[in-house]
Amino acid sequence: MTEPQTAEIPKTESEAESTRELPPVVADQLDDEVAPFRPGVAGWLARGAVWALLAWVVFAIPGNVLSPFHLGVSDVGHASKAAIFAIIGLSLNVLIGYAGTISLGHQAFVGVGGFVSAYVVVDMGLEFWLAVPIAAAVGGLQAALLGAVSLRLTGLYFALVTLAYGVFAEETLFGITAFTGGEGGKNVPRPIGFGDDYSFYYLCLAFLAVVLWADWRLVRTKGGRALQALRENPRVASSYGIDVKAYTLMAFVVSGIFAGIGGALLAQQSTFLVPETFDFELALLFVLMTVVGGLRNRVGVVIGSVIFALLEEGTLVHLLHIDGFLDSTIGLPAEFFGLVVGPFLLLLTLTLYPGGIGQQIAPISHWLRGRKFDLHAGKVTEVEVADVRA
Amino acid sequence: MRIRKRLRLVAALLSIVAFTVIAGCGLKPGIAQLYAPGGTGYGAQGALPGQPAVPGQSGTFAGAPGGTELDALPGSTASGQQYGTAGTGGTTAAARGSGSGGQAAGPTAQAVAGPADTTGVTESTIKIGLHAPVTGAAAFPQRSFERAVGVYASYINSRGGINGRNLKVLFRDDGFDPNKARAVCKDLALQQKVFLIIGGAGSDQIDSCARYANSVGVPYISAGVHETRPGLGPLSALSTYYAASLTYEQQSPLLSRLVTQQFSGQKIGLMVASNDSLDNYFAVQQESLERAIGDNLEFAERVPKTIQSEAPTIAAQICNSGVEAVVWNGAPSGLINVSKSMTCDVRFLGPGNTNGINIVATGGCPQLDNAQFFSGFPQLDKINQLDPAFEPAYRKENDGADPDDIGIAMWGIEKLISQMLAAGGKDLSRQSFMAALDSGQTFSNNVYPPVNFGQSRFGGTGMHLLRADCSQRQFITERLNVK
Amino acid sequence: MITELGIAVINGVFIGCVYALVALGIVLIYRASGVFNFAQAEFGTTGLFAAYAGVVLWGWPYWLSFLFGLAVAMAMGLATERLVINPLRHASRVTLLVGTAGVALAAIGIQFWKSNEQPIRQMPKIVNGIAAEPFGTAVTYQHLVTLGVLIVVAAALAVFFRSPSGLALQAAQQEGTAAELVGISVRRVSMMTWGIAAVLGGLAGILSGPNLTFTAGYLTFGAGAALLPGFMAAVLGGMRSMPGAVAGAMAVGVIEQLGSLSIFGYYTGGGAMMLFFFLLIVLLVRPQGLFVRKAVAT
Repeated sequence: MTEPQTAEIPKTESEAESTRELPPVVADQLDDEVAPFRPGVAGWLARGAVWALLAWVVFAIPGNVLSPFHLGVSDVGHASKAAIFAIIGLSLNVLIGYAGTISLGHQAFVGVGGFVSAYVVVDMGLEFWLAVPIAAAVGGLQAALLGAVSLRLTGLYFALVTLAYGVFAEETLFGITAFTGGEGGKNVPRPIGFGDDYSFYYLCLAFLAVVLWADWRLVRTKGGRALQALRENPRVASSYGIDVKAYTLMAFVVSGIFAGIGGALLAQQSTFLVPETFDFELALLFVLMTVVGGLRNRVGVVIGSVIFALLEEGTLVHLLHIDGFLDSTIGLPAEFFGLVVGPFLLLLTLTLYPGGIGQQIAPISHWLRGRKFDLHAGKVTEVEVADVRA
Repeated sequence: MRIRKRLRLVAALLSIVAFTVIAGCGLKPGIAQLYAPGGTGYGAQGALPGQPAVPGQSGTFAGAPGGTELDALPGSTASGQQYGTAGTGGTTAAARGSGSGGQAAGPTAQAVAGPADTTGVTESTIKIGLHAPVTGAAAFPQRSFERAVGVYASYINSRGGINGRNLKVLFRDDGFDPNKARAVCKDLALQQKVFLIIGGAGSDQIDSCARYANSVGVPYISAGVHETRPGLGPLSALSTYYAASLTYEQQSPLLSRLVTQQFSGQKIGLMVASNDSLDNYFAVQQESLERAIGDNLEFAERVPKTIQSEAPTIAAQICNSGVEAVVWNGAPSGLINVSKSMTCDVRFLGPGNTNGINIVATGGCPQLDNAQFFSGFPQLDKINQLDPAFEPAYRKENDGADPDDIGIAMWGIEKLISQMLAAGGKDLSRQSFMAALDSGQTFSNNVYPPVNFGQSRFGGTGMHLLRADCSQRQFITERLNVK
Repeated sequence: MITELGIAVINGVFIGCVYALVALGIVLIYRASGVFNFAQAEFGTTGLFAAYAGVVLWGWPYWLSFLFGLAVAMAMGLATERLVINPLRHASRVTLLVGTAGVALAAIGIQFWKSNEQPIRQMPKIVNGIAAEPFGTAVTYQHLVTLGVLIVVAAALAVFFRSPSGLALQAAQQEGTAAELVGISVRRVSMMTWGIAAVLGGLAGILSGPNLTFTAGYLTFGAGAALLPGFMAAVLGGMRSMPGAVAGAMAVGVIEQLGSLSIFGYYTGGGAMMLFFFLLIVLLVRPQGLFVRKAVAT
């Protein structure tokens, strides 16, 4: 398996499990032929410059610090939304990428997170900082409940149950006025200190960082390794004593927690929540952005999610100033860009770059981490044979 | 291997083209983009940090003290929703203010808005925003809006503008989603810094955006929709909201009168969609009909918001009840779905609200023949008599394209807004604008029935009555200014 | 009450006919490629749009437009097989599922974009008029035609699976490698299955289109939403049984219509809740399906 992450594990293994320090020889062996490469001074400078540029784009531009552009509040709002979508993408990545099962009702998890958070803040009058853990806990709980009942079904049947659950949540759960505030929606105030869109963006970034860290830790725990084993072959894994159902349930719960956090932030981001936002199309969008981003590739998932979040609003088209061009050449108005182009991106990714954006950017990301520039880095010939348990 | 992949790419691209051709053949080709919906303002959008204060502005309008409106604003913030932070009165400083200060400053900043708020107004232009759904579940044709928005603005600009200022209209798609509607209204209010916002269509989107506009002190004008919503309170409590035509509730006596005139002694049914925003309308209309026709009101029911597989059941219910006519307020597509499963002949009547009602006529014929709906604007058969300037201006702006009813609706509302802006005076500010509306002045422009906000924020005085004519496949204007 | 029940059963059966056509396609493809085909309903909508373009926009005769619609649906099915399913044949089933969902979304996106001039459209019926009015509900000729087509299709499929090519198809589906060894082209079989399934989807779309108005995504989550009911019907039939899928479709159609009885009238989302728990219980208690005698080897 030419999975990029397996090659990195030895480097940080000692941090995760401090049982015994591994001899460096092992790392060298796993890094195989190109291992001894060390960039020169110019190389380090170039890499540093690119890192600085990236940091500038992520941290400085949205805050209008050291920036030649002027981003208005709704531009920064889109950036916040992109960060939240990245959290949701990572949530789905745990499920599809690590556990090899798919959820087609993820909009329900995000929606429940959002409404719980809104309920805690508005109806119970508690603080946002309390609402997020509660939303996360409820997200985990509903995943545990749904999972406990339905994880004895595997693969496609499980997907069907999540699909039906999504529709059920959309039409029944979110129809409960006392919980959601009715069709007219509910106003959700932002936490003190993060009222304006600029500081709220950094709050979203902070949560994204926490989720990234949690995801990174997850992969390195015993559970993460077990997930990897059972995804490759559940029968072999269970014969080695891995409790397939328990670990899949764990992945489902973690995914639910992440989705709950994403939902809570989404409620705060728009400061207004209506039930009809969380429809089946949103669930498909979540799956789309995760797969296009590249399963099991954190950076790829984040980039994919950001792209789709911006596509959805038509922001990307405006930012690139191609709306007039698209309309005059193929008659595609900017409003329809995401709707039409997104699915084709998905299909092209699946068939040509099964590793998604994560695969496409692998040469650059490897180079940035101090390795040689290799155009064929991170090559995945096809999305791995993961789940054939249906 | 690589060649095969190339081939696959080529094949994929070819299939895209093929799908496009299949799906697109015979549909009208796109015309050149005349009005970029994206607006112009990414980047250095004039960020007017110091709003020029015009002292004594509101003094020119006696009996319309700016203070009453401004008092209402802190009131709405005090009810527990801390909106003030999102941006107060559209000043950049408040929106970008430091995080900690923003929250506390919210309510106070509203109160300080004493000096005239001239956001969106410069020496030479007035910038206003408009939102409507052109994507989403019940979208209106995007091209129609693209052509329609800004036609009147160009017309008035070519004739000297409004008190010497050019009118500029920014259009945003709200995706038929109240959440997105709020996001685009935030964009219009705080980033594009428009003077006022117009709600183009869709009652839920209008509701959502009107409440947001109120929270940031931006005037908001739409056609009349529902008056109140459970849990969120009446729209008339919003200090910046103005309905430029009769609300559903206000139309209910007109409907009852129409029913008694046309179907005296015959059985009538009432069906209203189960949206909670229509709860109040349902109660009001039921009571009004009971008063007008008594026991002849055979049934009064709520129907699902979207009628799909339920359509045959509802159709059978109508036909089994033996009613002659049904008063209907719900999604137009649901009405067509029901009418397609009917075994009997029933006339439909309803309060009118939506633009693009001709979609219903083209989709619903022949079952909906003679259906009657109220509307805030006349149809193509009467517009040339009422306002001869419309069609030439529309064709000029759109390379000779045929006008449609969305064109009329947008023309009418832009014309109305222009009159209101002109009434706001040379030193236009949000205060002077709203004071002019509240002063009780009647705005009459031959497209919309006269509008007067002296009594209430629901300022419509009448409606036009439309009738579906299936031989022409469009709605015709049966009577003007029904009161 | 009797009247209401009667209306629900009659409408349920006729809506069930459409679900059955979709479910048959889903079962066929599941047997051939082992994938839940989320694009199945979109074959129907695309066919409907094509037929609509023929009848209304270009003024073709109805039969020609009908065939054109089916041809477009079939072309879409074959293109899906060639461009998405075949390249992904070694990928996981979940990936394949995402691929078919991508095909559906792409089709919906194009429909939204291209039908924007007039978002709500109406397809004329094959034969206008009402055949009977039991309980005051309309049984149109269109309904009867749909029922007839379903019977013919079911019979044709039954005959086909006993013919040599039908047997070859079954062989290839059960054991691809062995079938290759005895000279059956798995590739051709796969294409044939997708072609047939797409035509079934096309029939569902073009026949049910005139009953309601249609928009982009009509058969997936629009007015005629038949994707989820189709899946439920297929699951009730154990995903592999064709008679089971047809019976399941009728059951789903009637259950759904029962949800619109006036006793549930004011309970929002009652129908969706019923379907969810129904599906959950069926999957947990009888994962092999309701309408099959014993579990079919998967």
